[in-house]
Amino acid sequence: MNWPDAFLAALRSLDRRAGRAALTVLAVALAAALLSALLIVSTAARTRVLDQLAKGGPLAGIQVAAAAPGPQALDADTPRPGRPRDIDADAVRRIRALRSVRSVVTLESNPVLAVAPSAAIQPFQDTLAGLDLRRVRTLPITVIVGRSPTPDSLTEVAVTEGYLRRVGLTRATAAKAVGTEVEIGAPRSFPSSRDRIDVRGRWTRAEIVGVVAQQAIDAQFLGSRAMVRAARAWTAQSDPDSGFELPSSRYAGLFVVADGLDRVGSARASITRLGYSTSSPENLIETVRRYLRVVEIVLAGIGLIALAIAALGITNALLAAVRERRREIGVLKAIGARDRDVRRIFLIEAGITGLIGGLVGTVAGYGIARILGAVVNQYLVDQGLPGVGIGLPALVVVGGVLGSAMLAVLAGITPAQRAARLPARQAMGDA
Amino acid sequence: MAGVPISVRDVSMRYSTRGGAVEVLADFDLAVDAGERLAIMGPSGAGKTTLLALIGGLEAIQRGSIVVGGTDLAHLHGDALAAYRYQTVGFVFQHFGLLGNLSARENIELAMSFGGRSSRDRRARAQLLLDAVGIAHRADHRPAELSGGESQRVALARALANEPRLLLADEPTGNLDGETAERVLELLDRTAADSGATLLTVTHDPAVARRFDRIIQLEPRVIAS
Repeated sequence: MNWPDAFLAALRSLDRRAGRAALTVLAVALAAALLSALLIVSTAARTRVLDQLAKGGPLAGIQVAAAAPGPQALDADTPRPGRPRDIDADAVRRIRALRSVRSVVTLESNPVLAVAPSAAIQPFQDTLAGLDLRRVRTLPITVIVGRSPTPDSLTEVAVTEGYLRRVGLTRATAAKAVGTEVEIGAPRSFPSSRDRIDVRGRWTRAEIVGVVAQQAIDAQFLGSRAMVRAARAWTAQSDPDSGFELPSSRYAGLFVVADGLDRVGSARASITRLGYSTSSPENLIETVRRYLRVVEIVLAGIGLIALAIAALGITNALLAAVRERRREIGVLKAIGARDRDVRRIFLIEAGITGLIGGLVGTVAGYGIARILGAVVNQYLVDQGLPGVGIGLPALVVVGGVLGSAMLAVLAGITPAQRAARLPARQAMGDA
Repeated sequence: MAGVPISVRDVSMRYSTRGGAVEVLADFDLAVDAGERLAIMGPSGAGKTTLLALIGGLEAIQRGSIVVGGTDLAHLHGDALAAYRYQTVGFVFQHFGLLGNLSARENIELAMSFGGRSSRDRRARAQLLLDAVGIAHRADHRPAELSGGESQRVALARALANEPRLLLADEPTGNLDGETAERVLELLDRTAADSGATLLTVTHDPAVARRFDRIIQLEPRVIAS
């Protein structure tokens, strides 16, 4: 009997005992749903935790400061930087050319004076950071509420939690800041006849379009690169004799992405050799990853236990089928079926049961994970935290469906073997 | 296709039961000519069905030898025994032995699926046999939708599917009423005659047995131990 014929025979047999087959499929589906839901949730949680550690940026991200490396440059994730050191275009080119570096994003900044909308808040000094906002997703910047400014805008900014605290808001009430305006003034010193610095501002009324959590640069305002360059061009014209100090480095810092988490160390070492201080949460991420792996193994174990119970259900259902079909199996043998033909039919029955159960269970598991994700996200949003994205990893789909089918086939081996060994004499009934 | 001669020599069969061992056949001998039509009679427990099962390769021979068409069944095991059943023997059971989840046509096709025949060939042959036993109009019905007589005709068609040289029928009319039984017997006679197959039928009914070329009577054995 060839495989297509055996497949059809198995399908017909399942169809004849549709009730029992449905119950067996349900058992497998429930177990597969539990397993896939656990894996999907743990994968999402893992991504979220690591994302939090990397502040929304890539795990292999490295921050390069406009400073020379300190004495313990590579001994810690965030070492104390040394003396200031300019980052110029040549330094960027050399870092970009390193073998272990995948990409480099330049960060620019300018000191600013800010006036919040409320008259009760005193004007304050801070920093306006600018970068290529098209690449904001590759940086350790997470949008808490609203959005990031449009890449070429001269009138949109995002603010950080530091700004929120200054205006009396929290993460939970961050949305109130979105849509308000803030006046940002780039300073410039002018020669003064009297014995003091005469500073005038280039003022921009900017709309706050979002609140971000960011670790890319120490600044409360995040704008487009064009916005920062305009501010910097104004400030750079300051009177050199006025004593007004400006950072001389063209770039305030760099955000470098290594070619994989395992290459962060070598990338940091290379950048340190080029004379710049680096920081990266590589050790923390690696430690957390190990713990998360343990959690995943435990959760997968729980799911596998459920699947093993379902497998026992398959074995039990098939053994019952073998008992009921003794005469039928005897007839099959009487008309020429070999042992392996009978075995094949039963294994296919088990496989079909596992395949359908795995498919249904994986889809159901994804649904359960989505529901759990929605509940968790509601809580996170209430806490002013970004939500968790629930995806369907390809490995879970393949593992859920094929794994269930394979486990079902394994569970079917004993009943199939028993069926195959039944004597053909059963065709005539018990002697 | 011509039938096969059968030689049964010194065959003994013993079953273990809770009450002790039961010997259903002891030093049993039988010779059947190729194409002969033989009725096997005897009371319950005499070993009629066991004899049929032994000759049909459904049961292993404990002692003695059975040679069918030159093949010593004692030497056949596993796939070789399955091939013997597929190629040489056609069974007709008292309970019909049709698979309830398959239609009449599919039951016949199933019997041809163990020898590598193409599905097209199987379908054509099944249609031919359904026509031959006069049940083509019920081809797509499942056994539960067929009467006893119709079911036995389907079973007969299935037994003939692989053009067997030996037809074994175990009480083929045991579950049928008189008129239906008569029609099935006529069909069995005709198909066996047309194919030239050797025909062995177990029956309790002397009227049925008288239709055959020869009748053998088996006697029940005494409990051995």
